[in-house]
Amino acid sequence: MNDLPTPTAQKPITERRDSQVMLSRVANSLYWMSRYIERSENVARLLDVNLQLMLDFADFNDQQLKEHWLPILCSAGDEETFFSFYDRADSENVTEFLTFREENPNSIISCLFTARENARQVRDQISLEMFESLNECYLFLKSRNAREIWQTGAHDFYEQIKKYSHLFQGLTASTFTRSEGYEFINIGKFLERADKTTRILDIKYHILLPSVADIGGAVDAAQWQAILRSASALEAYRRFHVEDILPKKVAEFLIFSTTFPRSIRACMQRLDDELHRLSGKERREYRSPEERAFGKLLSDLNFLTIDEIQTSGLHEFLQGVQTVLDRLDDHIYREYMFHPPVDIQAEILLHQQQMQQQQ
Amino acid sequence: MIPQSDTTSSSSVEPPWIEPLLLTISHLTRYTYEGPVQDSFNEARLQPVTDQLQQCREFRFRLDPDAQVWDYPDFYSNCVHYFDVQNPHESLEVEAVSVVQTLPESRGPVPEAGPESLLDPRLQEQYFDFLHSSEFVSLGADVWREAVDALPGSLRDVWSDTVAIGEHIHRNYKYSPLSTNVNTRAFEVIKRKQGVCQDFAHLMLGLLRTHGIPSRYVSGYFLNPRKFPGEIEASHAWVEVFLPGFGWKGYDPTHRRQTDSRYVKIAVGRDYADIRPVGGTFRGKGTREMVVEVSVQRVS
Repeated sequence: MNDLPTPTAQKPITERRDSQVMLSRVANSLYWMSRYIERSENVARLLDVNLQLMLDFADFNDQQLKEHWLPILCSAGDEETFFSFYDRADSENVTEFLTFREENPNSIISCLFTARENARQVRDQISLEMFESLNECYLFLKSRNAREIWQTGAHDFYEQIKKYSHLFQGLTASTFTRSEGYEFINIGKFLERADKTTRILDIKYHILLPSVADIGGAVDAAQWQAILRSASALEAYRRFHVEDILPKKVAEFLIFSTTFPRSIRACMQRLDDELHRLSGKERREYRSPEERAFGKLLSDLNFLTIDEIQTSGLHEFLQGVQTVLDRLDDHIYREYMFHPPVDIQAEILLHQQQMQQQQ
Repeated sequence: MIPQSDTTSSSSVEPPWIEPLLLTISHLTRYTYEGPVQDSFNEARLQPVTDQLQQCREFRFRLDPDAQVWDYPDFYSNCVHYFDVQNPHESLEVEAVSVVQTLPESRGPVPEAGPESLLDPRLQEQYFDFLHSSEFVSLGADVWREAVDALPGSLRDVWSDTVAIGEHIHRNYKYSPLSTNVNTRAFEVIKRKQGVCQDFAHLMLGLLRTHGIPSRYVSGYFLNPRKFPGEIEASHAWVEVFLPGFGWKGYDPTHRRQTDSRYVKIAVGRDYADIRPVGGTFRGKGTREMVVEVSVQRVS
């Protein structure tokens, strides 16, 4: 009885491969789960930084408050939805809208609920730890406790949201198998991160300084510092530029840095790697128009300078990046996730392949 | 595959072949459809396993229309080839050619094992799936009655009782092609008292499982040198029972004998539904004809 027979047909693990067959639905859920978590983290950081910034501008009137918060709404493209619910763009309304409003699909709560819903649909594909961390976050947001923490100290609340995201991404890295699913998760993460960095940088374009004299002044510097902190980039920036926070250098750093993991170029490089791994194509091979536009932009980032971007317009450049990423998202959806509805008119019925009897 | 020599069926069972054989097997399945079909998603379980009783030396898998093929091990570690043909096509050919070296049993004699020896939880994990009802083998009253007829009294020794149940089937059931079809369930076989190897395997699984003997369905091939002229060859099916202290051992109820070096195993499962050689779905009008050609040739 001690010599347990080993199952004979089983190959050793080193000779086995994971199934390369994956449902489009699963790919879609993993991708959006990852995107929404990354998005919630960025919104949390943005709001946290800007609420802290307000401490320096305690004497703002209504108009000034609006000028401070409106660019943040504009950068997310949500200002229309906002004004259908609120009249005044003040700190409380904007942060409430971007944090707890379930009608706003990009609020933190909507992002994390949707992320959790996506994770729930692919529960069998992800690790227990990943789902539980996300579910814990969901239960926290649903509890009355969440709003109480937010009201008594918004910083603690946003800190918590960021930690959930970091926890989830760390668990993904340490418990999820390196399969196609992992590539979709990474594509979602880096695409969202690149997009959010363009939007954070673009905020400064919308902020109108009270007068020309303020350019380069204390307010300007504080705002640029806030931009860096919104992208978790302040310390990384300081390693390169010890003394000044200069607009041009900030933009250059957030666009071009090859080493800072939230810069547009670094995110796009990772995105490029993952896309090629997923499609199995050679490096630098791009087939569809969307992939070519993406590849071209990535090449441009290797050759452009910040001066050239400033001459042709930073805002226009950032919008261009967003368009390329948007179209890439469409392409990924069409290529890997979308199945055209079946033409019922053509009476296409589903059949089983006939079975052969063993005789 | 028709059992040979009904004349000797009365008493002696021929000794198992222990001579190692090198076999070439080709298995062609051709579907011809009523019209163009599309979105065809399929799985094939056609690659012989490699274990201590056989080595799959070569395996070639051909499709017409051609398509990319992926393979992965399923839940029972069978090798599954997956492919899809999305563009319209009017026929589909799936051909598997393999070269297999069979080897004689090297595990020695089967030890005696009473029912209590199956209770070890470490063993139960290996056979748990193969003790219960499955799609083709429902453990209902009909099967239970037949099981009691086949083996009166309770289980004494797993292997000798397996052989007794096999003898019962061979004695009471008639091999007759076309009397059943691919969807025939074990209880229908009991009603009709006839069938083919697939039916006998399902029936035997029902009887064995009713007596608490873990048993699984085996899909494979079998070298049959004494073929009648024009006899159609198809893939074969038999069962394997789990013997404590030994492992899985094959028994072929169609020929009432333990499997030997003439047998080539492709896949194991709870029943036919788990391991159909080719299965899948497609969209279109339907199938006009299915042709299956199997040949098992001895090389040396």
